[in-house]
Amino acid sequence: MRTRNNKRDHTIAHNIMRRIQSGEIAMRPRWQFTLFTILNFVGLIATAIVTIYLVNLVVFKLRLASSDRPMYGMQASLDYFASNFPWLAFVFGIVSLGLLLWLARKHDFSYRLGRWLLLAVVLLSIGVGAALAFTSFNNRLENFGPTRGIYNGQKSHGQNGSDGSPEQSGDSTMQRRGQQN
Amino acid sequence: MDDTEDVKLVRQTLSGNTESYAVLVKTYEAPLLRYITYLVHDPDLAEDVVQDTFIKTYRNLAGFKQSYKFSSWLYRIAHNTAMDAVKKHSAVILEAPQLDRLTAVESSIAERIDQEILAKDLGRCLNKLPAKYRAPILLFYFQQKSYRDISDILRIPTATVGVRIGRAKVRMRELCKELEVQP
Repeated sequence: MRTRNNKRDHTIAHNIMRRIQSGEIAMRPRWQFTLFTILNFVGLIATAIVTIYLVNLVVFKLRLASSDRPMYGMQASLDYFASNFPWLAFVFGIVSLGLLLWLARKHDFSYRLGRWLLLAVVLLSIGVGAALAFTSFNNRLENFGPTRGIYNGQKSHGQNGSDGSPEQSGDSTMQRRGQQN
Repeated sequence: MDDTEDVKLVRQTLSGNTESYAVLVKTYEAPLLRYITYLVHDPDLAEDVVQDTFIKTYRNLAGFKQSYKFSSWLYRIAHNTAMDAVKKHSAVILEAPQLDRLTAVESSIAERIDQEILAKDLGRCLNKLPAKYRAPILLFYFQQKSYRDISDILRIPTATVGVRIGRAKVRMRELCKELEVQP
C-alpha cells in the first residue's frame, strides 16, 4: 500500500470514501459500458454506410442529369443544375459525414492519428460513394422496393423532357434554342 | 507513479475493496489539485473539481480499459470536469497572494520547489496563458507527464502536444517580458 506524507489531511479523500462507504456513490455496472461500446461501434458503421450511400446518390443523380443535357448557355445550365440537384441527399450527406467524423474522433485513441485519420475517413467515404455511382449498384436499387421511389422521379424526369412541370422550363428553353439554331 | 500498481488497485476496487480506491484517491489528490488549481484559477473551485473527478472516476471504474494508463484516464476526466466548471463559473483570475495557498497542499521537496517558483512571479505569466497552452505546459513541466500521456489526457495528437508546448514557451517569454518578470 502506498502512503504519502502530506501535511494536510486528505479531506477530499475522506469525504469521497465516506460517501462511497455509505452507498451514496455507486459504481455503474459493466454491462452499461459494453452496451455503449457496441452501440457506438454500430453507430459508426451505420453512419459510414449512410454517408457512402448518400455520396453515391448525389454523384449518380448528377451523372444522370447531365448525361443527356447539352449545355445551351451558362444560365440554362445553372438553372437546370439547381432544379435537378439532389439537395436533400446532399444535405443529409453532409450531416452524416459530420456525424461520421464526430464518431471517428470520439472513438478511443483515434486522436493519436489525428487529422490524417479524419482526412482518410472523408476521402474514403467520398471515394467509395463516388465509385459506387459508376457501378450497377444504383440500377439494382432502382428495382428494389423500398428505394424505388428515390430513383423513379429522376428517371421519368430524364425520359420525358417536356412534361410541362415547372422543373422543365430550362429544358423547354433549351429545346427552343435548339430549334432556332 | 507505478502504473501496474494502479491497475492492481483498480482491480481490487472492482472486486469490492473500497480501501484500494482510497489509496488511489490519496495518491492522486495532491498532484491533481495542483494541476486543476492552475487550470481554473480558483482553489475552492479546484477542490470541487477534484472531488467531482474522483466521484466520476469511481462511478465509471467498470468502464476503465485496463490496458490504458489509469493516471491518464483520471487526468482526462479531471481536465474535462475542470473545463465544464470554468464554463459554468467563468473563473476569476487568481491573484498572486492566493497562489500561496497552494504551498499548504504539498510536501515533497520537488513539488515544493516548483510551487515556490510558481508562487512567485512566474505564476503570473502562466496564469495569463490561454488554457489551450497552459494545460500542456502544466502537465509537461509540473506534472512530469510524457508527450504520449499528455496526448491521452488532452486527446490531441502527440505532434500537436509538442507544437503547443513550443508555442506556450514563446508566449510565456513574451508575457514575462510584458509583466517584467525574470523567468
